[in-house]
Amino acid sequence: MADIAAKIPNFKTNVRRRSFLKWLFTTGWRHVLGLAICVYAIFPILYILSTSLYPNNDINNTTTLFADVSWDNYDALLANEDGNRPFLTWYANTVIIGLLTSVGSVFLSALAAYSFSRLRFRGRRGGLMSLILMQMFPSILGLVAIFSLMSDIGQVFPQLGLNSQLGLVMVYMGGALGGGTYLMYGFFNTVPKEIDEAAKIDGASHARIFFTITLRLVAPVLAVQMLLSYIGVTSDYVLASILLSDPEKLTLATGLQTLINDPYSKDWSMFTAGAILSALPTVIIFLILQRYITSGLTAGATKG
Amino acid sequence: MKLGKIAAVAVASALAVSTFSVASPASAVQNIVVWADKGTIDTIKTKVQAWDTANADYTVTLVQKDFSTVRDALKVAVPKGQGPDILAGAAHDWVGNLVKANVLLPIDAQLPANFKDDFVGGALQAMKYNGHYYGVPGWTENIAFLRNVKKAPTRVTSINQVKNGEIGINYSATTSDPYHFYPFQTMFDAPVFTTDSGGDWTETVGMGGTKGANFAKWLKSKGTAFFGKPADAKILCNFLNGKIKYWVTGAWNINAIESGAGGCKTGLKIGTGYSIDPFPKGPTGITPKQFLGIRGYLMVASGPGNTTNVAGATLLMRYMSSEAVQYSLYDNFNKTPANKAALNRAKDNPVIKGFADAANTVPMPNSPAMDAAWVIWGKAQTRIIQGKEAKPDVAWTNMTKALQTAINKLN
Amino acid sequence: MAAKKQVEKTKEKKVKPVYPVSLSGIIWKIATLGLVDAVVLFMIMVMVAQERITESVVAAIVAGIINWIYLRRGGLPAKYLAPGVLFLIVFQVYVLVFSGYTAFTNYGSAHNGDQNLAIQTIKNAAYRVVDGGEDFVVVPGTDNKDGKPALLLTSNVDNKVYIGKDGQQKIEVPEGKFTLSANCADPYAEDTTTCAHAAKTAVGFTPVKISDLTPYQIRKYYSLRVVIDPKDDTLGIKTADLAIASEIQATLSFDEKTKFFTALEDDENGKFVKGDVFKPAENGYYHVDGKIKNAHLDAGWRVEVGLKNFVTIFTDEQLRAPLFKVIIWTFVFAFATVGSTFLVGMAIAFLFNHEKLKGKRFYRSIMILPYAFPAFLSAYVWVGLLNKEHGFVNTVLLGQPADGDNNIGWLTEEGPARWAVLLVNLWLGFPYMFLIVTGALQSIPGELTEAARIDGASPWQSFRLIKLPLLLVSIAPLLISSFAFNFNNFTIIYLLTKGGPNDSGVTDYDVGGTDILITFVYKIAFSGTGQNYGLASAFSILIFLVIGTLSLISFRRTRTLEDIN
Repeated sequence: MADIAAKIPNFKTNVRRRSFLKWLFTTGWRHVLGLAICVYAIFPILYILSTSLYPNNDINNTTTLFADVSWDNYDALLANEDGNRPFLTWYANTVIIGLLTSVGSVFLSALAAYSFSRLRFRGRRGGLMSLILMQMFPSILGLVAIFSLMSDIGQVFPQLGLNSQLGLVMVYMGGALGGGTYLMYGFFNTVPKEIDEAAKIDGASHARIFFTITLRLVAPVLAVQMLLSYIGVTSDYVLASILLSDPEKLTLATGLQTLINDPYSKDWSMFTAGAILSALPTVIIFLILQRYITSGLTAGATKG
Repeated sequence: MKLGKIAAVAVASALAVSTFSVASPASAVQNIVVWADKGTIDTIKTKVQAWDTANADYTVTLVQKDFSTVRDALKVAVPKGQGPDILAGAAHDWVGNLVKANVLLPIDAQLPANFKDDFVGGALQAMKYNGHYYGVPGWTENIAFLRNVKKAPTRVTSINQVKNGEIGINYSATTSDPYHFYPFQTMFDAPVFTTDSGGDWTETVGMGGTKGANFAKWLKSKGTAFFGKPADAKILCNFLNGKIKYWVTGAWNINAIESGAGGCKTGLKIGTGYSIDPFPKGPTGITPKQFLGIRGYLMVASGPGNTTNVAGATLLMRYMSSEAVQYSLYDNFNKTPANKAALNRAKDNPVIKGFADAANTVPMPNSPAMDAAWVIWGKAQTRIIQGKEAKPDVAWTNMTKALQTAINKLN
Repeated sequence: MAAKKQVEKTKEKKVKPVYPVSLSGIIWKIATLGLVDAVVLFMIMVMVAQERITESVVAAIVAGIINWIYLRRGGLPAKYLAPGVLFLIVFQVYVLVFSGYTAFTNYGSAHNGDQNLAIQTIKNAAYRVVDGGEDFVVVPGTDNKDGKPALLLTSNVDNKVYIGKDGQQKIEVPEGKFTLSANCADPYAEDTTTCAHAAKTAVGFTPVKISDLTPYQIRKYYSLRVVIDPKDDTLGIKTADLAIASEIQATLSFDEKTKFFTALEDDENGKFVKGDVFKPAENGYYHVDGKIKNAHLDAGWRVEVGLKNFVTIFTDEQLRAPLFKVIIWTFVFAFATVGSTFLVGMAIAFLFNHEKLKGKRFYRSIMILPYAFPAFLSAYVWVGLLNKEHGFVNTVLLGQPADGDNNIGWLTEEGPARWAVLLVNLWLGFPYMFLIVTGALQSIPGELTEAARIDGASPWQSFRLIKLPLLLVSIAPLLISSFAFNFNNFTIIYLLTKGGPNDSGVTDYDVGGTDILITFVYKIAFSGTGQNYGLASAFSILIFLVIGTLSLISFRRTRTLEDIN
């Protein structure tokens, strides 16, 4: 190499130019495109961040990003001076409802997925298929049924009926089997059966195998599923707004909604600040877990 | 053997936990449940609590509901006997829809004779559907013809004196706003429905025929050049700056006008800056009418069985309709009283007086078909204004037919 | 002996795998089951206290089944499936069944409850206050002679005081035999010095406090009718709130046995005449003689209407044109969304599926943000960005003037609105596709592409002939699910445009340019032309059938579920 370089005077610059072109053709254009897509992806989020830092903003009417940066909106939101928007309470509600729902539903679907993956029984194929198909029912039209059901339950057990957060969690958990079982089923399939067999020979009961061995092996996927389920809860406002009504029981989605419901005074300042704060933790956890997310999403399909 | 043991233990532990049973205390104090949206609760809370304190026999529970979904919630809850006793802050054009759904209770027998004289014209009648009263009025809203005094020192008496580009009116590009356009429509004597001998709305569409067609043609001839473009967010600013002279709007925009908002920091003061006028007469000299919107308190039927709270609920409703309370709601929250005496007292406020004096109102119809009507009516209207209909009279006639079909479907 | 053992062994093997049982497992089981049983028992006790026997029995049976599932040996699948299935049945299967049933009824705003509710409503309104009749301030109480409910009445016309009892004419209480209340008769009178006062007690009458009355006693007072004209039992002085009594004329009579209503007066709108008998008709209304062509009373109830809703869907002229348009757009929307998100997601995945690329992690972190951000928040941001007059897209990116008349109406004109919906959905959906394609790519064995390269395949060939087919096979189920999801993607359409712009011609259905089936049906169920849950449910059943069948066929074709057997 060095010999050739010594013989050709222009070699170094040539190589540099050529290597730049080569770089451009192999990886450079990827960076260019990657940056372009990043702009598309992040722009709306920067936009809401920028509006949230702009006092007295209107989300429909902002044309310069970060024209003015102040924490006024955040201060006002957290101070809750007129007592109408207990943002921190909504926050706590969302976290509690979200955690209960995600842990509960991931547990339920893990149990089901385990049985579909490891056990052989009649109606197994049909059961799995029905679970998938049931998700395709236009659930928004089930609102009347859900409302009526929760109202009936509330007549007997007010703690679980309308305007009850526990009731809402239960409704969410009703969707657990359909939501995660299929994906988790695929992932359980990737865990070698020999591990189970070995443990069984060692004298472990099936429950012990499930809880202490299999679940641990799929822990990253469980975490991802929980996160997705949690994001689902934070994004839901249709069900929550039908079932919850007291201001101090609302979730972030429904609570923030009340800030912009009044056609004559939409409080975009509070709304945008609240939106940023409510999305922040999920986004951070999402980024931390992103290594697992790809496998968590695809395991069911690609290895099933 | 083993199974039996496990079962026994399970049942035993079950019994242990179950001993924490609940007793249901029977209370002699009746609890009156009021559903209301957030804005209404903020408005009435203090007064309701005052009544609660003054009446030892009753307690009142205010339950917050979403304004846009409260009717759906009511329709599910009442048949199950889980409805409230009162729906507060209800828009009066809900009445027909709610009566049809079996969720309201008539209160004719509870109203003192001549009770309707206590309220501004038509306010109590607005709570009437099919011959029965279902509630009492709380506060009212109507639009007027606002004028920028600096640019237009004298009020106009005929719409013919108004030129293109001088009017601001809020309407949507897709469903218009028949509410804001109603004064213009009645300049052609084309009321939305016909009225019966007692002056109550019927469910026969009254805006068809030649008069309606004339309005449609006029609307097209004026178009966006006259009324401005739809969904114009700059109306407020333009009015403040004097770019437009007149604004068709209601009391809900007065705060913004007086304080300035939306990038136009300096507001206008009533009298010197702007004036609240009656609508000018139509092209042929007909005096137009505006819709009166009433927010009130509706008596909710309690479903099968239980009707014991009617007494307390009636008392509370009559309290909320009384002069003292309605004046207080005006005083603290700027709600225009429906109660005549309270309104007269409130007239020392020039804004209230302006809107009251400008009012030549009819209550909005409360037919069950109103939700559909606003959409069908507005859709045709906005297309005509924006010049999307080559034959406005035909489009208008088709609209009235579709509306009548929709109404008949509900009967 | 040995042979027998042999047989036992094979039997055991054949029947089921036997897992060892551990002590801690049993303790856990007892504790959990005990807790469940305790909760159920508690629930049953509450329900029995409320006299809900059917519900208690159902709860007991369910608890029994749960105990049976967990206490018996074997039946492992049931043990794992039971908890999830329980929630599934209560909250999803129930919803399905409810909607399925509703599709065959006229359930909706005007048919909102059962016949008893309608009867109650009709009875509630079957009176009128006599024009110019006398009205009274009321004090409820009992007659000292017989202890029966009585009303102490003070006339608002002439301030005379009476005692009224059910079925009797009112009896005047002479001056001096009653005492006036210190408060004004009108509790909210402004002028308390000159206001009229009503009697509060009278000789021979014991007032009662309303709060001391039981609901039954209160109803007794409500039904109390003081006779005005002994010959007319439809007229009387009645109170509906124990505060005011008025002269009331009944307008309908009800026969408890036949459940028929009879008109006592001509209708003021001229719809029926005195003596007309209203009987329940099969459409859930009381019609004169039970015939639908005749006039009916206002309150309706829910009845089964057979296939009527489905017939409406297929035959209603008003529905046909908009429905056809909506269906086409629904398919376009779902296909375009899946197609565009998949293409973009795949392109990015390939872009980044390059070992030497630096900053991959950084790019990926940014790109998956739309997926991590709650979708309903994003929708509002996009509504703001796409605002016609001042939105960022129009004024900054496209350089159109603020307030410009010719700005693109991204959310208010049909063509642009459809593009806008797709654009936003692409933004929301491509990160997901990017992630799953990346995952799938990683599972394609490197040897395959390597072999292809050695065989002289160009990168494009290797992509088209090897990677793409493998990729499609492995993520097809996710694409199908994504299609099904977007077919019913209510949130994004509703939050962005509410299905609008709503100016497409005249129909009495509320339908707009970006309405997909689900938003269209939602509006039938919850807004617009009178809520019609029956029709909406019929629609949702059809939607479910269509999308379910499509998915089932697609799943079959991709054969990805084959290994299950």
